Amino acid sequence: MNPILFWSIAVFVVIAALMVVRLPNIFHAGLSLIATFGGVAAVYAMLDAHFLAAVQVLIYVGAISVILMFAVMLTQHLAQREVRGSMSRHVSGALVAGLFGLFAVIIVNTQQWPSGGLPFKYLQAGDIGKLFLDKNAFLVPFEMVAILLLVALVGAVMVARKEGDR
Amino acid sequence: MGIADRIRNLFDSAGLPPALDWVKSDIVMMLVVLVLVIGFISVSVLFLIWLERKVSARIQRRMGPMLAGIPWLNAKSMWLGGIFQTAADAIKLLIKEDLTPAEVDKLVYFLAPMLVFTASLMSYVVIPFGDGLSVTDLNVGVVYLLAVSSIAVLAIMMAGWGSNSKYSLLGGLRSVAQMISYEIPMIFALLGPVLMAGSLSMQDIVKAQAASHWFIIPNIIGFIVFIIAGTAETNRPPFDLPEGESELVAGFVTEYSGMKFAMFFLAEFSNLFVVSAVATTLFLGGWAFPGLDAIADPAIRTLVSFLVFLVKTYVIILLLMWIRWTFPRLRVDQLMHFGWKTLLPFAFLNLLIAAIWVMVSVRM
Amino acid sequence: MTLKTEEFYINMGPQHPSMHGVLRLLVKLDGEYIVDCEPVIGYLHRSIEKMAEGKHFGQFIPVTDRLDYVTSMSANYVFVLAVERLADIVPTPRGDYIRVLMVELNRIASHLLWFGTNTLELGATTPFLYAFQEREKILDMFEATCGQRLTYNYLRLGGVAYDLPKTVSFAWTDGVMPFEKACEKFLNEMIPVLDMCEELVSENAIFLKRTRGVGVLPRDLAVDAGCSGPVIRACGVKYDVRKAVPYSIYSELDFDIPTRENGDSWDRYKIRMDEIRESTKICHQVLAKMPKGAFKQVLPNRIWVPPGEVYSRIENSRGDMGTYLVADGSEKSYRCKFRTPSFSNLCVMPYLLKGALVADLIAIGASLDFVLPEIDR
Repeated sequence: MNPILFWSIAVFVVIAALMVVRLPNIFHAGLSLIATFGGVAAVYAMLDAHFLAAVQVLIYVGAISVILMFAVMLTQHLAQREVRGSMSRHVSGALVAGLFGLFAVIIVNTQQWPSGGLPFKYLQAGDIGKLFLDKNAFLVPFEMVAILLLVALVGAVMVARKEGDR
Repeated sequence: MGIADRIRNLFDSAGLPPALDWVKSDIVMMLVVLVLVIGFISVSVLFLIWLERKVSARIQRRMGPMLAGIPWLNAKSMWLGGIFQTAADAIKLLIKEDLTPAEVDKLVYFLAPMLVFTASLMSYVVIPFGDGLSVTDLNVGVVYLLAVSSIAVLAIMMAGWGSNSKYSLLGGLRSVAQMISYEIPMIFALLGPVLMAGSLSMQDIVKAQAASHWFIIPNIIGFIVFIIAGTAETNRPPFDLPEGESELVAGFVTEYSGMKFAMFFLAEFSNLFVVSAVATTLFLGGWAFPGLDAIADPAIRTLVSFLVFLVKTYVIILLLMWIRWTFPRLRVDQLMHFGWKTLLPFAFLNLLIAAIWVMVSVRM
Repeated sequence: MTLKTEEFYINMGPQHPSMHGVLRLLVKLDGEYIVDCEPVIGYLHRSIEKMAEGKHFGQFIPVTDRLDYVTSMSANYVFVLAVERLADIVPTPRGDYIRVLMVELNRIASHLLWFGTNTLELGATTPFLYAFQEREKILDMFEATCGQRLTYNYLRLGGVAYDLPKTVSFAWTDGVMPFEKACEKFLNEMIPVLDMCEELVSENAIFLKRTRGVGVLPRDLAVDAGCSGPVIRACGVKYDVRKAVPYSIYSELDFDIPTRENGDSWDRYKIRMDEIRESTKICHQVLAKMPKGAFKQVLPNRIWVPPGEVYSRIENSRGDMGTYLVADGSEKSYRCKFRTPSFSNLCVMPYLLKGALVADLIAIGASLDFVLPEIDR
């Protein structure tokens, strides 16, 4: 993996993530979030997980971000107002994030992670599909997630309905 | 085998002196291919705009652009049929005053047209222009295409917001709602041929069709769904109410002028080509046609496959242009109803039919 | 937790790419739905009725052209009819027939223009050009007759200004032809084009979605508001001034009045297409029966009309147009009031737009077929 490429993308992602919490204008913060997602997709692509990278862009950038930005744009007065946290908030936030980062690095580097089987490089989209439908692999979680999404969808429609009759 | 490899072979067979070996390096090849692709897009967009104006004119019983020509031809310019009209319009747009309204969100306002065109440019990377003629053959080509078209959605949203105008915002939101609604039937329509080819790679799908038959046969419903969804994705009539002239204003492009406006326009026609190219690749066999294997010389094969691809793509483009100039516009709520309640069930039906076809043909 | 939505006003016009003339609509929106709409008129007021008090009757006829410039033959007609009734002038038979021919041809031209702009506003750009090509032929014939393409100033007291030309030669006639033959040729060739346009548009799924059930006008409301023309005939009221209060030679002509039941935009569209065909029938009959003779009574340039008042009505392309003329014995009118169908048709627009979507606003406005010069005068 090309180190220059990796480090530049990594720096980009971290800066974009920082800007999400630091930028005063909410719309710009939303755009930074989209940039973060895009950077993560680039990292996936560098790890040869092409399918995951494409799906990351399709779902996160193409769907979830759009919903987020819709919400930002429709509550217009909120977006005009600039959000500035106080200095103490920033300091405590940085402290917590730093501690979490430290623990994450320690845990990831000292644990023995079990190896998953096939090297990631050779896992095609078709293989992922087969894993989803294999009852010894991920079938049950797949179906549970599907039901969960359906419940969320129906719930959202019901909540929206109650607020007005159109 | 991609375009870069072909160019490298070309250099090898032409006898490149060893001093110039750096020309065959990855970076230089990337730049060369980029320039080629952008050149192709520019030429085809210029041609497509002229074609659109001529086709619309003939449908409406008039002539279309006839006079724009070059100085030394003068009166005989009419024979050219106004082919330089688009170039003249492009130059006009370039020298137009670039009016930036005062209160816009500068970053977003400037970024949006660039992003729209970038998203369109990114789609050209996986299109198989011919035998061994794709910039790169991603093994998740179809998903990549869908991912890139969703970037365009974001760009339009940014354009609507960045213009800092109530009408632009509403127009932009409506465009975005329309585009994300029609992405879903498009995805399901594309899944039929993917199922039949067993691969997400565009070149593999073409080769699968070359081996058997064009995938339009069991996927005819999917083809129609894709054509309709593609028209909606590129914001063309009959789905262009968000930017229609008889609407309040011109939607999200209201506040754009000059080159930025030209970018949106360019991206629309570039997307038209992409949608037609994808329809050709997945349903009409791409660059493959029955007698292709008989051609022995690989260079001629490549050229012929490129021409076949172009012909098929332009057939679809003409179909889309014909549809544009025939039908009135759908209202926004009717558009959404149509996308979710009519088109999506048909897309599901197509997937079912494709799945049954694959199952039956595997058994046989 | 209820979501409070804000209603906001948008202003459409007076300059707008698809409004029919300089009409200003103050529309109150709740999201995408129209809550209320207030038409603001007067941007095209030119004091035409006041001008009538300063010009003698012959001088005023060209001004009536500008009253409804799309069907200016009818506008001429309603005024000329009023003066003739007051002054007891009987038009010559040939003049009468020529007038009817011109008015019906103008009706066809007006409906073709309406058809083109209606479909254009719904987004279909092509039928506009087909309709206008046919309308060009009518305008060619008008130009040969009276020299004008839009504001004809053709009718005179006691007949018409000039006789029909003996022969004409246009791009669409093969060489030189008698006028009557050219007219018949046009009428015969227009019907297949009209059929083609209807085939393209009438049963088109998208067009149906945009017009069926859109802008439904209840019959009682239409009658109370004084709507007329295709607007009220779409609600089921079979009322046409040419049959109800026959004037000129209409009682001798054989034609139908298309009427429909639902009162939505599609019905108004279909009635106007059928009216084009009925007008074609009338034109054929008029051409067949055209008498020879003088095209105009020989009258002095200025006439003094005995005092009195009269109300004349004709069927304009848009509906029931009337002139209330009060004369005081001089050569000018004392008061001339025009009752125009577009004014009454526009009055129902706020009712039609309540609860409709913004995108329907243009479509409904187009289907009412109002022209602002008639409304503002």
